[in-house]
Amino acid sequence: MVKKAFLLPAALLLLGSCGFFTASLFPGYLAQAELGFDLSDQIDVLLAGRSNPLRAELAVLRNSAGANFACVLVVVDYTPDRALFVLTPDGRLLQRGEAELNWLHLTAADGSFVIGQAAYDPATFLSLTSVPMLLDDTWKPAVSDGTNNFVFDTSWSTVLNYYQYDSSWITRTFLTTTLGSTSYELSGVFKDPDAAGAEVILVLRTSGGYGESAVVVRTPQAGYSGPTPTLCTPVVDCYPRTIISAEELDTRRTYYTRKGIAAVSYDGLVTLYDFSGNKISSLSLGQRKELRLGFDLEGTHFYCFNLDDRRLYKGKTGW
Amino acid sequence: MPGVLRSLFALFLLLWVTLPAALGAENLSVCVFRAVDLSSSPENNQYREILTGQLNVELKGAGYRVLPPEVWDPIRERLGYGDLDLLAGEQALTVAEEARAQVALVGYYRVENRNVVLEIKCYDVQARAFVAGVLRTGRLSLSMYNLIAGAVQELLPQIRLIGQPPAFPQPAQAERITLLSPNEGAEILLAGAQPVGAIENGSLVLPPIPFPLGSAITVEKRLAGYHPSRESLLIREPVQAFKLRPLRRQARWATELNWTYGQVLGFGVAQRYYLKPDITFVAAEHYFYLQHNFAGGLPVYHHDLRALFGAYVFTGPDSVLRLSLSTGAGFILSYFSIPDQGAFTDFYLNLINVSLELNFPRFLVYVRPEGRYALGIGPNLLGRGWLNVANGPSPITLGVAWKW
Repeated sequence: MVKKAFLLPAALLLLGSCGFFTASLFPGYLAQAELGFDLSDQIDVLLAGRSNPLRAELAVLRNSAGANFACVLVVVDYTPDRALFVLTPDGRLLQRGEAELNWLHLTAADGSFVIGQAAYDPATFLSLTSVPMLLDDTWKPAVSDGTNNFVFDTSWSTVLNYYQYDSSWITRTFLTTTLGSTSYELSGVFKDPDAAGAEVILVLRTSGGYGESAVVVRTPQAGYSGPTPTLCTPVVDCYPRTIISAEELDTRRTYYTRKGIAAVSYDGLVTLYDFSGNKISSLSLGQRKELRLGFDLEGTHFYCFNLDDRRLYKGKTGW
Repeated sequence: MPGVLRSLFALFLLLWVTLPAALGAENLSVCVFRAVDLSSSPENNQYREILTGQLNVELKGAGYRVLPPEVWDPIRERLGYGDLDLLAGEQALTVAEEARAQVALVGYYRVENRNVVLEIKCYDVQARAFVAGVLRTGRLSLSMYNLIAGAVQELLPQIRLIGQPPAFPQPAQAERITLLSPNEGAEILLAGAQPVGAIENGSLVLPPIPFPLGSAITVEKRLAGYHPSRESLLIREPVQAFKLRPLRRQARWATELNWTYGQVLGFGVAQRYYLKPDITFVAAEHYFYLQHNFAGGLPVYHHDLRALFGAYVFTGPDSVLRLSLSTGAGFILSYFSIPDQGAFTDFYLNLINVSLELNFPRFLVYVRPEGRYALGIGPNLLGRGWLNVANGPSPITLGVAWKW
């Protein structure tokens, strides 16, 4: 009788562990949302009645105080019109609208955060002077080591090409180092300032030796500055790496967090892998195809934005 | 002329080959033992020869070869049997067997007060079996000859069976079929057309219709407020009672309680109205559930409301297993626990549901995969597309319905 009494909780635990109770027709992140914002009115104003397509990007940045904030860039295609929505660490939604906005995003060497060529104060989120970087660089991944800014330009190559800007974005130096024996595309760059020696995390795509997979390499940020990079080469083989090679994996949507690597599949499932590549947990995004996603560095929160319903959510990952 | 002769010869040959087989009886030899007078007085002894002679004449006339007493009498004497002993049958068979006869006939009579009792018994020698017997009574007069002739004529058909392959037994027939049913007053029709009565006090005795044993009859039961039902009954015994299946009451309404995979933390209620009892229906459903991740988040509440039209296919209301198809439309109203989010409505077309049901008299249990397509109109959460459990199958509903 006592044994039978244990069966029910055991069965419930088993069902719970396989996601039975969280299975839903709706995206899983809805039940994890802490904040939600409807950007429809602001986007309608931006569109001003036009039927141009919209594009959106989402980035999660971190200021020097270690606070995370999300930036959603909405672009009206074929026009210079664009808007930046910033979800501040204290949960306020701010809107900025400079024309210099573009995909590039980083917390720069001078402490400001830069979106495209627009720079902002990370405390007040007010606009600062424009960044004089080359226009060509404004759609590329970028990171800072606290002294210099690095803009990467690696697309299906065995070498890692990047430009080193000084903190005022005036001096631009081309640098290169060997990435690996097969070609890679750099799809994202993350920075973990609190990791030992501070790390620059490269998220690479490859269809070569590892098949269609994402390779996440954690490199020391001290190795990037010129005139001669001191990174061990080939970079992919020298430093700790995590290879994610799952079915239906959208390798462009792979994110570094301190909890592990969050990888998104084409069918809308976010899976968290530990740094050895083992699955830890998952989060359902539902069937929205154009969902933009980001995670804070700690991996405790996610941000997502979708142009279909124009809603921005911040939620707990539960990881 | 030679051609005519050849034809005549062929005809003769044909007759010679086929006639004995057609006659049949000519091949049988019969021992007609002397009749025994069991009368108390000897003056009736004269009837022994009359009876025996009459038997001989009738049998010869029927084509049998009657063995003369010269053939079997010495055998009887050698075996030490008297005429009276032969009446026991066994001895008559022994004598007839030695005389190479196929049939043995023994008989006796008794006259008292001018009333005569006559019995003739016939045996199959090869089978050593009693075949038939005839007992007659009458007045002692000239009609005695008619009495004997009648007795022989009655025996002859049985004698003719001796030596022939056994005939197939005539099919036995049902004598009394009783139908038992809990549906008092139910009208019973044979083959769905011929009314034969109604159930009274729990039963109905069918009228005497000669159904062969082993045959099956189909009865249809009809009662107002119930679904007519047919069932097939296999008649095995001449007297048999059948317990008919109870009729299914016609349902106009059904109240459902259901649960859907994909809407796990909740339940639904539904009300059906059968446009045609237990065949076609319309239904209104309301399903309430929570969406919760059990990881520190706050639940989202969903109210799923829909209207359906459905119909059963392939099987009738009294089938245990039934399949129904339904279609309709609905919407899911959602709201968050976190503040200032407003409400969202996901309209959808419920294009097709396939429901497999276990059907019982008063309730049914079903499993129902559902094909729903979200329209993505208005403020919504799902967008446009088929509704699936996130990274899983389409929703599947389990339910139970109480019919009334």
